[in-house]
Amino acid sequence: MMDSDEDLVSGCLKKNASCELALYKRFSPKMYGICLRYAGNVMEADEILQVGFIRVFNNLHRFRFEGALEGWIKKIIVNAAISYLTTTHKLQKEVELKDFYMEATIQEDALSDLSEKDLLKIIQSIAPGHRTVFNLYFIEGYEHKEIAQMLGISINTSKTQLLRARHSIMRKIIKEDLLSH
Amino acid sequence: MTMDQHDQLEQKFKAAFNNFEAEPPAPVWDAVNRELHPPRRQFSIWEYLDPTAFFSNRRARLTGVFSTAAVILFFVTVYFLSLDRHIINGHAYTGDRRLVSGTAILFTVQDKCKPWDSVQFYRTVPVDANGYFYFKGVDDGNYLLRIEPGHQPENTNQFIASWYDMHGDPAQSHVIVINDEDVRTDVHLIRKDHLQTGP
Repeated sequence: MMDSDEDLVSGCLKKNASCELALYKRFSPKMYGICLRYAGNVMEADEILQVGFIRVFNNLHRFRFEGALEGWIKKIIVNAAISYLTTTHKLQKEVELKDFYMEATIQEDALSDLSEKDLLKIIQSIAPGHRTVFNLYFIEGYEHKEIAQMLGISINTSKTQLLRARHSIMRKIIKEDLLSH
Repeated sequence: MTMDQHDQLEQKFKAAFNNFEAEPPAPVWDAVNRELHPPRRQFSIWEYLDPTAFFSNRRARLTGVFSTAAVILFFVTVYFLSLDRHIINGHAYTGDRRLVSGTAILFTVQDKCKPWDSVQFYRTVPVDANGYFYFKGVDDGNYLLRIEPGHQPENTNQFIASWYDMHGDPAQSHVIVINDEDVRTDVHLIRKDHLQTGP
C-alpha cells in the first residue's frame, strides 16, 4: 500500500527509518534528474542529491502542506545545487551584456535526433554559470529577476548568461551534427 | 540562429527534462541515512585513556575532562571531610584475655575537669570477638570511653562495665584528649570484686 505524503512526512518526523527510505525512494529519481542537469558530472550530481536530501529531512518540520511535497523538495534540491555550484565553481557574478548571434544555422533534424542522454551530455558540458541560468530559466521557469536574486547577480548578468548558454548549446549541437554526418 | 530555432531548442530541452528521472546510486542513500542516524560508537576505557583519542575526539575529550574533574572533586571532598577527624581504637581486656563481645561508648566532655553536666553521649561501636573497637571520624575534643561487656564465657563473666582506664566511676576515669592525632588505647575492665564500695 502506498503511503500518502502526509503519512510519510509524519513518519519521518518521528525518525521512522522505513518512512525516510520510502520518501527518498519516491522522490529521489526525479530529484536526481534535476541534479544531473545542474551538475557537471555524475559525481557532482550525487553530492548535490546527498546534501539536498539531508536538508530535506532536516527541514521537514517546516513543511506546512500548503503546496505539493514534491515542489517543496524540488526547491530545496535546486537551492542545494546552486549552493554547490556557487561554492565549488564560483559562478561568474558579472558579465557585460553584449549581443550574441550565431552565423551558423542548424539542420532541421539535428535537434530532433538528439536523445535525452545527448541533451544531458550537452548541458553538462557548458559552463556552470550558463548551465545554472539555463536550467532556472527554461526548465524551472524562473524570471530573470528571481534568478538574479537567487544567484546574487544582476538581471543583466542573468540575461547574458542565458544568451551565452543558448550560444554554447547551439554550438555543441552543430558540432555533434557535423560529426554525425 | 533564428528565433524559431531558439524556441525549438527551448521546447526540446523542456520536453526532455520536464519529467526527466534517473535512479540515483545506492551510496547516496547510505550517506544520507548515515547523516540522519549516525552510528553510536562505544568507547572502551582504553580509548578514553588514549591521549590521541583524547585530543582528536570531542566526546572522549569531554568525558575525560569530566571524569578527571569528578575524581579530583571526590578526593578534595574526602580530604576536607577528613580534616580534624581522627580515630580512637584499641582492645578491651578482661584480665589477661580479650573481651569476646561488648560495646564501646564514647562521651564528650567539656574539659579535663569533667563537669558532669557537660558529659554527652557521642557514639557507640561494637567490640568484636578479638576485643577490638574502632571509632573513626572523631572530632578534636575531650572524651570519656566506657566499655560494656556483652555475653562472656563463664570464667570471664566476673567483669563489669568500666571507664577508661580501669574505673567503675566516671568521676575517676581518664579523659582522652584528641588534638590533631589519632589515639590508640586499650581498656582493661575491672573485676566485680575489685569494685570499690562506699564507706
